[in-house]
Amino acid sequence: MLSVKNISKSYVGHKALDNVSLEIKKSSIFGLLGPNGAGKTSLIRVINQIINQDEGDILIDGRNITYEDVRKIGYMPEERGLYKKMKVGDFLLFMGKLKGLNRNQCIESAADWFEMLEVSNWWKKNIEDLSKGMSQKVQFISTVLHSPDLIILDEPFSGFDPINANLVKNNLLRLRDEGKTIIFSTHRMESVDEICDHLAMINNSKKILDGNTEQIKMDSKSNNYMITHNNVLKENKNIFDLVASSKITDNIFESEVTLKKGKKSRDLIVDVSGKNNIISFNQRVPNMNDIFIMKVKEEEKNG
Amino acid sequence: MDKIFIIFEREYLSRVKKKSFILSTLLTPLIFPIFIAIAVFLLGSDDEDKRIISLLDGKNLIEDTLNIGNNIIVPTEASLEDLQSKVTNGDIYGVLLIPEFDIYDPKGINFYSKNIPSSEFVYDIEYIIEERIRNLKIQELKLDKESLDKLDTRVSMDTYSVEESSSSDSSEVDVKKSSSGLAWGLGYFNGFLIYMFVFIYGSFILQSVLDEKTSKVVEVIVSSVKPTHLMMGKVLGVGAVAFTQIFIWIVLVFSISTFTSIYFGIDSVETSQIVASEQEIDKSKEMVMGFYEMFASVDIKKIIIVFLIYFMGGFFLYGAFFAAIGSAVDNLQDASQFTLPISLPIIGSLMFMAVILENPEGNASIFLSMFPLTSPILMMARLSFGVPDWQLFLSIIFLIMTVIFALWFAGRIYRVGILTSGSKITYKVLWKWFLMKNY
Repeated sequence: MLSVKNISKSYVGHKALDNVSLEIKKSSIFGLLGPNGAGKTSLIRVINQIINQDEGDILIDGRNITYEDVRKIGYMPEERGLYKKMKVGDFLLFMGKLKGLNRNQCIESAADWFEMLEVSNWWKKNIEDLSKGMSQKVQFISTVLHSPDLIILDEPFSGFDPINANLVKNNLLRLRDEGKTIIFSTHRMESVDEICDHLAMINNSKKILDGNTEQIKMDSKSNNYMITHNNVLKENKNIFDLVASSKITDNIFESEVTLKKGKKSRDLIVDVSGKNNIISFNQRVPNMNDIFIMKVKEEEKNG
Repeated sequence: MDKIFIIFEREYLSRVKKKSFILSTLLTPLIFPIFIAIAVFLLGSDDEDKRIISLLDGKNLIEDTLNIGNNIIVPTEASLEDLQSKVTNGDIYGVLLIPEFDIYDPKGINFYSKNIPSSEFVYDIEYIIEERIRNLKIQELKLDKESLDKLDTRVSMDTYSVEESSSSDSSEVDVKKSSSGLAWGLGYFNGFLIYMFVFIYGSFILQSVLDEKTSKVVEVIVSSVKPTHLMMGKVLGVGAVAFTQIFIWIVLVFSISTFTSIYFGIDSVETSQIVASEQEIDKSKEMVMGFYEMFASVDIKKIIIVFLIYFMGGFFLYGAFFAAIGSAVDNLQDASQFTLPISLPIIGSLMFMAVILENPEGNASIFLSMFPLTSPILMMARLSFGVPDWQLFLSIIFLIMTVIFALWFAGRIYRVGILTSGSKITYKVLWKWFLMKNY
């Protein structure tokens, strides 16, 4: 649905984006991951045409993005705020009208969203009386009020408590299932793999990795296993190397082992369970943070 | 364009609905009449304690007790030293000493008091003494008082402006009663009004842009509105608020003045004759009539139309600059280094206004009323004295061209400024933003 092709952007003195390309499929959730200052916000601003790229193209369904396309995007920037002296309803009306809705459409859509985000009807409330979490919800509603096909959220979960963050995540999943395309950015990489279908990692204005989330995890999974067991574990050099082992209580031990090449996890279980009761057994799957750090180190070695 | 309207609508309605706007709009036109009423009230009723002034009169100029305002002058026979110590005790307010003197060379008339008396009081006493001396002279020279009074003549010269007739017959001319004093007053008033509005509403724009920037709402909005459209909508919205306020004021002032004219029973056409024939007239009435004479002697329609043009022109010109400043800085403190140079022509205009009102036809006056940065205030100051149409036309054209340029210039800074925060802003940075092709 959206193609980002070889985008470069420089500000006075530094390069914010260096030849970044992305391919975002319809009806998916795309995560844009990277530390602060990596260029995520610049990329999002370029997609929204708030700033213009120096080089490269933004394509929607294969053609150059137009001002009308941008107007249809639901965009929630990282730097977001509300007019303090307005009522919630007036603000939503204002934002809705800017997106081309009429008064009744705004009111209906807002009522639906109040319900979906599990809040009472805030239409008449003063914005300055809202708490931070409440403001964030109003901002989210103003972003999706016009049911955009493409939703772009810059650091959407900052400012939400875990319960509300979950509520928003569930709503994003629902929107995806309804056919919407969602792009969001975050610097808190460890917590997002469960909702991203695809993701891209950006560091120092360059894309360092992108692809299907599960695929990325599979590709970077190691041959290490975490085993919790009830007796001292004896190393079996034919099957595994013992990386570390620690005694938690008298009859609970935790060990990390590396499986030898050519051996299967079944071989490991069989060997360990001979002298031990296995309490838990996990393959060590790195989270996105680990993958990112790995990837950055790899890049440094290559570059 | 519909976006500009939505921005405009929000900006306008959120301001016009404010209590502070409604109150200031309705009450300000009442402030001047209220001031006048208070002044009249204070002058009319002096319920202060009477102040006693002892009089040592060596010439018997003032034989009886005399009331001047809230002062009583009482002739006494004490020594000056005793009286002076009474003054320091606070028993009496002051001592008026009139020694024996030659009426053709009056000297040694002194007044002693603890505090310095008002100049009005000094003038009043001097006047009374002069009058008494004059009577003494008339007696001594054996002159006929009545014939002398006939020598006093008072002339008041009426001024008329002569203009080409508006009717088709070009040999005819329109002669209108004019008043240089009133032209001065009206010029000053109009110039000052524009000065005030440009400043107040200019800073509203700055504040509004800055609020959007600091409350971080701006990026949400520029994702659906072009920054220049946002700026235009904002400037137009605040401008419309100013326009609404001035419009309500004009309507209110007219209805109040119509009301007072009925109340005072004055027909505005006859006003000038009444002023000429009646010398003794109380102050408030004179003011009301001055007001009418002013309106009878000038082309009020033209002044209002030209006023609104310069009002809007001046507002947009400076409003654009204020918007650009608001977008560039992060807080009000940082704004001041940029608002000062922008304010200089406005403040300068106010200072030049005195010169222009003295000599509205001078070269400097003509130049300053053409120069777009000063013309909104200074052309309005000149206008009531009569300005040739070509000058007015040229000045307005210059102003409109400059307004368009200023809005374009400001827009280029604005588009970058509203999304940039946390960096130190200098003129060099602003210039770079202006030149930036892609942002």
